[in-house]
Amino acid sequence: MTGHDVVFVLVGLLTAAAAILTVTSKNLVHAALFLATTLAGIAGVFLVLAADFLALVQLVVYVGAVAVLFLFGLMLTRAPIGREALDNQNRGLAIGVSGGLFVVLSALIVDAVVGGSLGDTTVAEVTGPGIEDIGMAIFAEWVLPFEVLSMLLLAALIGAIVLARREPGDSGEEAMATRIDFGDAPPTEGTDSLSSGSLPELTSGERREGGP
Amino acid sequence: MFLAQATEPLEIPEVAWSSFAPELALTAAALVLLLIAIAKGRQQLVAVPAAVVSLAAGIWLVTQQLVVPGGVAIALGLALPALVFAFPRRGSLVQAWGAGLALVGALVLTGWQYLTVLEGGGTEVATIVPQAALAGALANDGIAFFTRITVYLTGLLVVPIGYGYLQDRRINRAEVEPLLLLAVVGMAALGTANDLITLFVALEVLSLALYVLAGLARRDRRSQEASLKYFVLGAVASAILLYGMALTYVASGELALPAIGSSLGLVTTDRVVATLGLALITVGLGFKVALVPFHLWTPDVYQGSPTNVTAFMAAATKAAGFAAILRLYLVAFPGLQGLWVPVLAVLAALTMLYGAYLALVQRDLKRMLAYSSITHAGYATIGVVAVSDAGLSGTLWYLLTYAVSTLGAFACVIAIERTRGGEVGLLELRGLGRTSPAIAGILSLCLLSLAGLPPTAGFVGKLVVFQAGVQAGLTWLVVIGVLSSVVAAFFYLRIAGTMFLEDADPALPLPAASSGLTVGTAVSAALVVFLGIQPQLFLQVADSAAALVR
Repeated sequence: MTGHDVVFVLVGLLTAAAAILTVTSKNLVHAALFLATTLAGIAGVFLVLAADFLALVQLVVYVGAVAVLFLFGLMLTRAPIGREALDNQNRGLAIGVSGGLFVVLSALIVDAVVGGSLGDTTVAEVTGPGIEDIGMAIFAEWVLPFEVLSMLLLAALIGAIVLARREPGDSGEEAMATRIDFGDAPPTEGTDSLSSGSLPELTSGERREGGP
Repeated sequence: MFLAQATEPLEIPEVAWSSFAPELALTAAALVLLLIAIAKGRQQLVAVPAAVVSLAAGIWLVTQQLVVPGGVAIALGLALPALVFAFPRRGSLVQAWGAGLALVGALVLTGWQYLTVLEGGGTEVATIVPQAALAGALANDGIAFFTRITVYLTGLLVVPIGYGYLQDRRINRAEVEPLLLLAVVGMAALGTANDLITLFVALEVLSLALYVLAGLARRDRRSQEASLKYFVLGAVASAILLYGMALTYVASGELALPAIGSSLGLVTTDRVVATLGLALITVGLGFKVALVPFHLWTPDVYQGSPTNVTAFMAAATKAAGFAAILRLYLVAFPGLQGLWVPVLAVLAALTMLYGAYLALVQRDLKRMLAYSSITHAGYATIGVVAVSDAGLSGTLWYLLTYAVSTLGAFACVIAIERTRGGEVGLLELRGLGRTSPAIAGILSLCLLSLAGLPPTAGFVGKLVVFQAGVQAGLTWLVVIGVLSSVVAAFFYLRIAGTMFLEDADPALPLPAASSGLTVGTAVSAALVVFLGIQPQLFLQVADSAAALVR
């Protein structure tokens, strides 16, 4: 057992532990953080397997974007953070699905490595475009769409905050289930007038309309 | 393991950022305004460093022989602490002025770009090339230039028009101006985009910002409804557009629009796939500019959104969307002309008739203006299907005239809405000509311009577009256009009649204009008259714009 193998096993164990903690954790934020750890661990596995680029992409996309998005989503929607009964009592089904998935994936991987029945899977040398080419393509040829994409993300970020942030006039912490009225209810700001001095956005008595 | 393979230093390619200069300036302004909004009490702590950075960048640009961009950077850098100093406790005023000044700077940069392109790029810098700047992602041609002017001008007018309105409704959030600037950047980028990827990303930037702006009034169910409707339908339209782009890429193997154009002209290209792509792109873009079978979102969204956002959407989104349409159809799809010209012509005819017909029965002023905007999309399409330089410059020019007219009209709606709240129906307009003649007069003027009556900008706009249509042999379409204008003129004039001929209801409060609203409305009205009486200047620019495209 070389040092390489030891590192691989350690990283694998860490990842697996984090994955188990993700689904057993009662705290939603903790679960999200464990998810980020799991994803980072997978990046580590890639790294140990000498797939640098894959590891980096895994870090950037999954740890950097997906997990953070998850946390942002939790914060912005004010979903119940903390110890809450979020279990929807579908344990049996969940175990069945994940177990089945595990069996199928392991079978596929073993099959691919050993070279079994599922078609002739030959190990091929990967000759895709190198990282350098990808970098040149993004930052030289497609630099403008890349920059405009960053503007898109900025707009999305601001937009999410605008739509989700609680205003001074919004109701307090324990916002109950959202009540959205449909139909031709009179507009809440229909009667605002300068003379009456009412501040409809601030004093409106109803609960906020965005919601968890 | 990383970076283990030490390679020879990469050759960093020259990036011609100057062809994207106005948008960069606006993005920087949006970021700084956001930072200032965050630094509530200590705004100078943000303003001074930002100013220093801006000054340094400006001086560096000047030393690089880029005098105009450098000057703009220096001016904006100096203006920022001055603004913060001038309005110490009025964050929203800093935001509004900052956004306005940034838009002025963008207009200056646009003019500089245009002059550089016209002079052949010899004297100042050779980085702005009419076509294919930034590795072909941008085309700094006439469409780009004119769209930038229209969009920046619209933004510049919307900021003061909306300022007081947002305050009244207590939705003057600090994020409004940065979002507006980002939307403007997206629109300008859409007008400049010269490949499919840039085009799509730019479209998404402007759409995302507008989805949020439409839902700005969180307590107003109509605003929420507008935002949600716009978002869901817009996302579907974007998906359809993207699918069309993918099919076009499959058919042509190219992403750059000119390359697609030359590839689709070949015999070997798969016509079926290309046609499918074209059809899906038509659906997607038709949604964005509200051509008739794809217009269903428009009335609800325009009515529900805050009025200043509606004005911006109507004027600027249309300009940007048509810029994309012009460039796509004239540059990328000339090979399929036999297919899209008849289809778009029929769509234009439907749009003009249907929009005018439905506008007739509307009681709510905002909703009526929404249907009128649908009708105007039809007129602008005439210039596209004419497939000529005259049609191209006609469409660009028409969009400018439509933008100033509709801005003026919505500004008057805001003035009336401010004191009366809620919806502005026809009944509320009775006798407005007696009680507040200025607002009634300007509203009538803008409506006349929308109807296309002589001394206004709208008349020249329609004239140019119809002329191009007749020249292209689309007389039937122009006849339909004239017919729909007559129908439209009826309801525009009915509003004017309601205001001036009927008696006022004394119970109704008088409209009130804040200073920003006054300025914005007056400038829009002045532009409506100026473009109507002295169209030569901008028409010439539009013509040379058309010459730049091909």
